[in-house]
Amino acid sequence: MDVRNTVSAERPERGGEIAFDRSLAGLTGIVVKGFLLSLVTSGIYRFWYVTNLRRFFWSRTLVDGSPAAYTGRGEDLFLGFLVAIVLLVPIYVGLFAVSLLSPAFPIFAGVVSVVVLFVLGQFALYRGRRYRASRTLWRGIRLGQDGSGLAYAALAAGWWIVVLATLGLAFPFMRAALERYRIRHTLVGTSRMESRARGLAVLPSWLLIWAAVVGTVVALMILATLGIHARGSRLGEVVLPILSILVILPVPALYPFYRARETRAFLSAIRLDGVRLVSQMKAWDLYRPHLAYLVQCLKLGILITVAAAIVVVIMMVSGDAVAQSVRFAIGAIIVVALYGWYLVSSVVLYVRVLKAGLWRAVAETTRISDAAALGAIVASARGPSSSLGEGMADALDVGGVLDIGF
Amino acid sequence: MTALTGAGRYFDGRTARPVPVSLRLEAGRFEVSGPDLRRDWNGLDLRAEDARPPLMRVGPADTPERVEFSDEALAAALEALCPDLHAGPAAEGRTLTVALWSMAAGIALLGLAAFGVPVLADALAPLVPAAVEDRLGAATEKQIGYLLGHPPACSAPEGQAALDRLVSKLGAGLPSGPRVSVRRSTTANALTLPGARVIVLSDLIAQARSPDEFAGVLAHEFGHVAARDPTRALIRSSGIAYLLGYLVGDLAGSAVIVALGENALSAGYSREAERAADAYSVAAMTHAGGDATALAILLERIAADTGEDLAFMRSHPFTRERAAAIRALAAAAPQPLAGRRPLLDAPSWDALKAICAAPASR
Repeated sequence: MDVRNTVSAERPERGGEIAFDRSLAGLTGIVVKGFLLSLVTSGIYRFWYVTNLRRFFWSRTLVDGSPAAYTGRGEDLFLGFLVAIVLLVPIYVGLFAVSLLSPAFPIFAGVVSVVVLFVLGQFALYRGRRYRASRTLWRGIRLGQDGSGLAYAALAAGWWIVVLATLGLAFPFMRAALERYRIRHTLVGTSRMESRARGLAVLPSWLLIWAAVVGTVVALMILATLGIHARGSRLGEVVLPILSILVILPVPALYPFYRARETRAFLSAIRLDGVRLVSQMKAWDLYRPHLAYLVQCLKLGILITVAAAIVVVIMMVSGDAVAQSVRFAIGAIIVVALYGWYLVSSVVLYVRVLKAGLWRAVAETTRISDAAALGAIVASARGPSSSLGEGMADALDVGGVLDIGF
Repeated sequence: MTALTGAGRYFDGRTARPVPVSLRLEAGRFEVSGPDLRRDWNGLDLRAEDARPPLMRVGPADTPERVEFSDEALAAALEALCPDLHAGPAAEGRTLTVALWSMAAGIALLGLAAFGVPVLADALAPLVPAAVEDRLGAATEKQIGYLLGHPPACSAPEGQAALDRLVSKLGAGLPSGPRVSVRRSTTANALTLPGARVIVLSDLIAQARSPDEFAGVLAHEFGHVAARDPTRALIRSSGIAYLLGYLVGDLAGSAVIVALGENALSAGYSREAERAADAYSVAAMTHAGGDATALAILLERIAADTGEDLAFMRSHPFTRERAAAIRALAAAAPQPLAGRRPLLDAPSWDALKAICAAPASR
């Protein structure tokens, strides 16, 4: 016990904290290189790009002062993707055949496709998480995940039926159930995580969104009825459509609020042996990265547009000193270069401001109740697991490169 | 060389328990000492894991033991001492290898999409059973209706009768009777779908100045029907969409279904397929006793009028070349003995032009 005490006395600023690098030095290079190489390789480089991004984010996240390590490799992801593609071919052919064989019931074929792809997507998400967990090390101790991807997919499908049947009211309970399944099958070394996430805890926040959605639907229906009566008039053609858009806006604007509440409740419900996580996330912590990203993109766009306009004006007033075609060519090259710069910069902003901002928001609002008790964690003999899930998630276009939370 | 010292935390790699240690770097050796602990590591064996400087996490390559410390001077000295400090799975030279191989793979896939898939489509199209083709046609027609905003069908009885007469004159050479339907639209377009379905958008009839001009277009579409071009194009575009899905990572199955409609709308047939359909049109028109050059006249007029090709030939970029080829073929074709007459008499042509008028208003 004295040993531990001296440790935390030695590094008081980091004891029990989860921290994330604020300077993000080196991230821009990874993004620019990854984005440009992905472009020239028709997207195939993205597996290595994702790997580099993860290595950066993992290694910049300090848990009780020690950085996490990501040991996944681009080759793994690429291979998993290839295998997933081969496995998906017969499924796609089957879905296509179903849609061909039942021309009288196009809805049936559509439902079958959605259900099959949804279940596959959930399976892929779960197995992808297993890949990431088993490639994550902290203080040399490997994380892991057991449980079954199929069971998870079935659980998700069953809960979605309940959510649909209750017109969305059961959504937080579904989120809590899936969170419990994920966390309870997550291992740090030989220690198993435990989650006491409850849907009831976030139900009030969800009801707010739910009421907003219901209100929006009612408002839209009223507006649509008004629109039918006011067709042709100024009111019907201009005012009502604008009102409809204004009415829809609160719903996406409220979602980060719910996510913040959910993240706080679910993270605080995590236990690992004697250790608890304590999250103090506030809604503003999630709004800030979104707003910052929006503002930065607007600033960049205005800057680039003004610069392009200046180039065009200079080209127009520069007189007959240079042949017109030459002027035009130079102007065009500069404007194209400006917008190429804009494209790359906006990708950099997306990762630096939005992704890293959200990551930091989660990390810095989370604490470990008793960091000293982490010392009891023991490494296990498990090895890393296969990358099929990640490949399938990529092939199905589900799942994020860097998801926040666990 | 003077000794550098510092403080850090030692981890044995088996538990997460931190052990406070003092560090000492001297003469190429990295010494770690703490309570009941003494390590003397060779600098050449040391590997550092990713971490944000000045934090350094370092240990011998072949054991899980690591030391963490935040000391810039010590970190700089280790960097200078250990050549392989950052060697390992993330070695730099591999980026180039990966990029080059990826580029090669991308080019191979693009090449397969551009050259391999058309050959495959040519081989597969004749193997598709008629029943499947018919269902494909039905699915495509639905998709087209959706993409065009559900244009109403036109079937004024007299106009329909005139159209049927024209179809039976031109479609004699087709294995199964083509199903031609007219849809009200402000775009001039004619689409051939799998299963011998042809959709005529009504503005095409309005733009035609003679029955033979319209008949020429219809016969051209029948040429696509005879060659099974729609099925072939469908296989081709699905295959290409699938291959490109490999590259961009979106293999959502809907791509294939969407391809059904988009493909028919863009009608991206090859130049050879268009020439063959033109030749078919000339032969069918000559056989029916019509003016086979009317198609060329329509092509040229609309290209001149609008400065761009009519929608149904937007992907037929070689208008002039095609018109010339049509004229040459028509001149070489045997001329009817009794002289040419329009394929529809004036009342029937008027009725066809009015096919979209609502019966009540006539």
